[in-house]
Amino acid sequence: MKLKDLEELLSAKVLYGESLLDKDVDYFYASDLMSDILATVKEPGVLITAMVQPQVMRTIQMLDLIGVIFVNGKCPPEDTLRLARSIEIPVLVTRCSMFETCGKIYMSLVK
Amino acid sequence: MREIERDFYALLTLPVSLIMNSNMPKILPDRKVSQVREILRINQLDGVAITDEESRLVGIVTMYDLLKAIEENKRDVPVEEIMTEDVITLSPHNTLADAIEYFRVYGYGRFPVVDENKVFLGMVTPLDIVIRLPSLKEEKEEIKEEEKSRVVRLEFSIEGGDFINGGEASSKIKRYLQNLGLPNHIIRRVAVASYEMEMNMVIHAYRGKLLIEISSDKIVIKAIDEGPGIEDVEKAKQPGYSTASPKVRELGFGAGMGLPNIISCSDEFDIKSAVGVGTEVTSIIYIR
Repeated sequence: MKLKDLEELLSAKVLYGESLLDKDVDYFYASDLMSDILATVKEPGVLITAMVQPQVMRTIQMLDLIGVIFVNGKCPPEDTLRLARSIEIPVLVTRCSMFETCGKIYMSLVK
Repeated sequence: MREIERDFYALLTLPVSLIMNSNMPKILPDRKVSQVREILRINQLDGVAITDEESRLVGIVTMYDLLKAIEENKRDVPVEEIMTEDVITLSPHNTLADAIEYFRVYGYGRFPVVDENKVFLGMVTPLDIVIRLPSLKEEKEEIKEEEKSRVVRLEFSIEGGDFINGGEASSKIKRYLQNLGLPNHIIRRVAVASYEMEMNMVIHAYRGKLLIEISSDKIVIKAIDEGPGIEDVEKAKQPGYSTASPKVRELGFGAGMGLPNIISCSDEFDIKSAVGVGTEVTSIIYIR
């Protein structure tokens, strides 16, 4: 799956990184707890979260993740987007809930 | 574009000792104003350090100061009477990024570089940076080799409660390690440990310091804070145990995984805490 495919799958809006969506994604992590993410991520992948504060981008940066999907239609504040731009992490926002987002991605992967 | 940016960041981490002009005339404090002006004119300098017999910095004087003094009929007074004594200095371990930040923050035209005994080593001006930057690119590789054999120390101040900037120190540490070319799995462990340590201070402490020591075989990360301390350290090490406020939990922290995460990233781990004083956490990660 490419990052680009998530845009359509989740009817997501790309807030930053349109040009970075050509990357392949093999791993997804869904959590709102930063320390849990820091403890579990082993491979570069995409983070699915309802947390929109700047610390999310810091966490992503520490782990070399390649993208983030904000669920529940939550738009991140400018501080978060500024960090995303500085570390070149594409930012997608979907109206889907965490459950729906994970479900849709899971289904498309097992197909 | 990214390649250029990466090169640029690598250059920013070089020590100012490579950029400074160390070929400066020595001027003692008892030299006359008119003599010093002549020395600056001959050497085409706008400013110069005034040093004592042991080469320790006692002040600086600019061409502007000298011309003003001459206008006020002070041609024959010793330069120490007109020099600026309260000088902001750089240490040779400061980086090019520090120097640029100094120029931006203080707005002065030059900064003397002095060692821990105040011995004057050289002067940095914005022009030195512009002139020396292109040649530094070639020197960079050699310096990397040198860096492998010595200990590099980085120190960051952390403010308790500063959630906006929390993580910035760890982000700088990570970039620094990437520029050193360390293996990714080591960088990852250092980044996670230092980020958890930094956020612990942001969440729990009043203020603190994040220290990192990089040598050829290991990386030592230390977080030393002034804060409430931890009442039961053994409990705090257990996964899931947390004393964080609901506000902190709303931000996605305080799940009780901070210390367990640091421990699992570390080859050696130590924590000392005194209630009402503060906490010191040490993580050592071996490079292999």
